[in-house]
Amino acid sequence: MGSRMLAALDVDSTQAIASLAQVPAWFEEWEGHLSRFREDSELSQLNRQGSAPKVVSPVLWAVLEAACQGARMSGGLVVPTVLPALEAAGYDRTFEAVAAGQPAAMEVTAASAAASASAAPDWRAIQRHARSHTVRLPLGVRLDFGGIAKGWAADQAARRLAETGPALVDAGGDIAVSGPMADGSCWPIGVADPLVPEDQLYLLGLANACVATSGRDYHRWQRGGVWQHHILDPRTGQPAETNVLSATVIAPSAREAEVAAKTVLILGEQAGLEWLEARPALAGLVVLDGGQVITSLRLPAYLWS
Amino acid sequence: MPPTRPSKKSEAGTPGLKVLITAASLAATLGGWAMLSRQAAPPPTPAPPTAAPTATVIQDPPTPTARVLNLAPSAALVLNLPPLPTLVQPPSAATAPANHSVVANSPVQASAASDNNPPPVQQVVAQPTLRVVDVPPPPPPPPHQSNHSSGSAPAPVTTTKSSKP
Repeated sequence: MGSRMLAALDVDSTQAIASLAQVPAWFEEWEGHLSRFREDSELSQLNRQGSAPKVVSPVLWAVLEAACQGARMSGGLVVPTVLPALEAAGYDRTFEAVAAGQPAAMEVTAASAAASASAAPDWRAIQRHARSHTVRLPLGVRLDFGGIAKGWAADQAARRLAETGPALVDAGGDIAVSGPMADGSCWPIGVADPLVPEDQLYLLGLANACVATSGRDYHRWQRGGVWQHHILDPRTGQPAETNVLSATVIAPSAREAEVAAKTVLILGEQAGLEWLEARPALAGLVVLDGGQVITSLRLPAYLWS
Repeated sequence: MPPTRPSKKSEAGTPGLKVLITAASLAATLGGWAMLSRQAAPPPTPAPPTAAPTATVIQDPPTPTARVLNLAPSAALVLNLPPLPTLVQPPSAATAPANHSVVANSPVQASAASDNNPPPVQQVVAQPTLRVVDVPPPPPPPPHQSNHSSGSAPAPVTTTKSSKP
């Protein structure tokens, strides 16, 4: 997934070492299913499948379901159907390649340019048959799970590690915990300052909640002299225009936190925080372009204490 | 043959001897005192050196302030020495700041320990329900849970931040 991963078990046993040793293989397997940057991934194969139905693996099915739930949760702001717009915006290679200015894998055509200026396809048009795990994409629709896959992977790994002991998994900033630490205390988790990444804005104490951060601070590139970022607004197909530099959300699961953080960022300061406050299971904060930090009313319940 | 005159010296010689003896005794006594005083002198001598640093620490505010702040445990030892009140002047008003500075960390710790709330906020903007912080908040308060006995916030296990999907 191209991100830093961290897994921790709060238990002292040889079994813990053995369990942690399995984590890289889990992520490798999941990436083999879910990465759009791998030509041989199951997702890439599905995207090449066109509109023909395809039976997918339990992993891809689970993440697709999570993506569709996220789309519902976000009111259609975080959807898995923005891939054409992402590619049109220039994010058609791994970010390392984009940042290095390597040639694009595909030329920007009139069609892709048009796609970048139009709304993302309706995610509800994706046909899914739960019993057979069959998926049929509408014509022209290709999927990108983006951060949903990270959050799902963090949740899944934490759940698996919990069989050995209290676990924490950080998948590129999407952090899942299986429950409190062995002594019953919370896991101390920092919230990085997007303006000074080595600094910490807050210290969270999470026992039964997960957290994720979405931001424009990290993943940017220039295209035609205009700064682009990877968080697209499906309503326009363009990078979201927002005054929120980064949004951090605490939620029952890492994938929900990921969806919520991205939703808040796309909605912007005012609407995003209203959206956050309207959901009792969520709490969080936003950092604005000017460096202002705004916290939700429920955030104090999750601060380290 | 002239009679032997009784010599007055013999009569007077006794008192003279007594005087001599007395003078010798006095000299011996003085010498003994001197010796005794030499022998007795050392015990009081170490006392001033013992008390001097303490007095210096207490009576010279600038020096103890720096030392006290940097060496709080030493400062606590100085304050607990029982003989000091009899050897040095009682702390003056000038020494009070030094002693106060010993516990200067306590208010900070007490304040942090009693702060269950998130870092302070400075103003309320358009949404009354939202709190705006113009500057990064201070370090979070230390834990209140009994399992965190260090009294300060722990290092995070990890940090959430935006990253590539």
